[in-house]
Amino acid sequence: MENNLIMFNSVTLAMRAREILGKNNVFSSLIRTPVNLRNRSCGYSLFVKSDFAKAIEILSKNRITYLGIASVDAQ
Amino acid sequence: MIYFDNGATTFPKPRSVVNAVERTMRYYGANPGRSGHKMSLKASEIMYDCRKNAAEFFNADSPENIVFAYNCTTALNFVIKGILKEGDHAVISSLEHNAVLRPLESMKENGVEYSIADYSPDDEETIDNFRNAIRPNTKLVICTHASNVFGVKLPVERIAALCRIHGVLFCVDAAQTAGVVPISLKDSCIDFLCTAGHKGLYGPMGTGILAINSEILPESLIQGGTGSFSSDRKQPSILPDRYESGTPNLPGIAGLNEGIKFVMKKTERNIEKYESDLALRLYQKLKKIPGVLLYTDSPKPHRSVPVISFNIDGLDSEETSTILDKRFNIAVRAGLHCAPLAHEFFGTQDSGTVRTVLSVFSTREQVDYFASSIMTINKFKKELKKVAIDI
Repeated sequence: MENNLIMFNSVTLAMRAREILGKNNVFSSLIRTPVNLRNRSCGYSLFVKSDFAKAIEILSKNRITYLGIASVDAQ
Repeated sequence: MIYFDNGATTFPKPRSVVNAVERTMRYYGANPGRSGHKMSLKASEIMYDCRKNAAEFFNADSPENIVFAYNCTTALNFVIKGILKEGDHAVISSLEHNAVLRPLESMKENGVEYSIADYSPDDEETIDNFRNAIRPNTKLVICTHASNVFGVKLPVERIAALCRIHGVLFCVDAAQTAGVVPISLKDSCIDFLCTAGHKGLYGPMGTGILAINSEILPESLIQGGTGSFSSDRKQPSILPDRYESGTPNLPGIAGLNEGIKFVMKKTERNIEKYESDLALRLYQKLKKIPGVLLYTDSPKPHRSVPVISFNIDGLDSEETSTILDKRFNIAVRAGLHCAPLAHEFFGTQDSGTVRTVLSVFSTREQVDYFASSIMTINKFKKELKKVAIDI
């Protein structure tokens, strides 16, 4: 399964990332980081259904730091 | 009631501010940044939207650089106590509020020293006074953007540049200017901007902002739950979580967001022009009353904000404000306005002053009624003195 999740340390950063992606026509949803990926932290993630590579590129270009990427079951 | 006490907090608030507070209390009252349910995410969105608008408003680097505080005093304490350590020195102006003076005074016990640079109506002289006050161990300069008592502005852009040359951090207290005077952090050398949310930004009380424009960050004074890095015993270092522990004032921030949008729509230039014109009208009317003592030149947009302090000869400032309240239904503030340094400088430390601060909701009719009330009080001050004493 391909990556579709970008994990962040704070809800503020996750929201800024979502906003920047939206401005670049990449749709994402803010969710709580799934428990198995959370590493005992309580972070937030962006679920990016399509254009994942483009999303990562946009975030790097805008110097938005994220904790990591993962794949989750869209269901 | 005619409300000219807008320097303490603006009143009334825009309808959109009141509605946002109510809407949040009614429909989105979850804890932001903590949970994953829809209501908590909506609450987080409200916080983020306000951060984004505040960042745009002050031209800050990013929304993360906007830290919510409970008022301007808290924001100033974050900077002063978070930056200064034993052996450090700070410089402040002679017009500072107790929000700056008292934290520094308390830090004397921790080995922190401070000097006072005198304000002068001549900017060159003010700059020289700051330059002369800077020492090799000066770490921070804190300066009010405009006096909360007399309205006079300080040349903060030039003081900021001076600080940059000397490698000193610079913090501005914009409690009386945010929302009236445009401030652009990215275009300035201001490192920290502290302001109230409930004055010129028209938000509810219990809101304040610390806008950060520096790579050097103050230590966090309050540690606790942030909703992030929960497994780490140490306070997160990232912005804004570094300074925002505990449940935030979500209804207040929702209101502040609408207040900022209200000011952005009107524009600070228009607000400044409107309020300055009214202040000038008031000043000119007061100037014509023989018993009225004014302490500054007539208000000019580039030199002052619409704050006018005065006294009526033969009356204590508290007496004048009490008479205005009881007999004329006018709200103003009297006394020292938490700024004893400014009164020492203007020679009003014994009498205090009556302070009038206008807002976008003030009108010419109110100004005219106010001036005629002062004329009446001045004429009948002996008789009206009793009004101030009667309970």
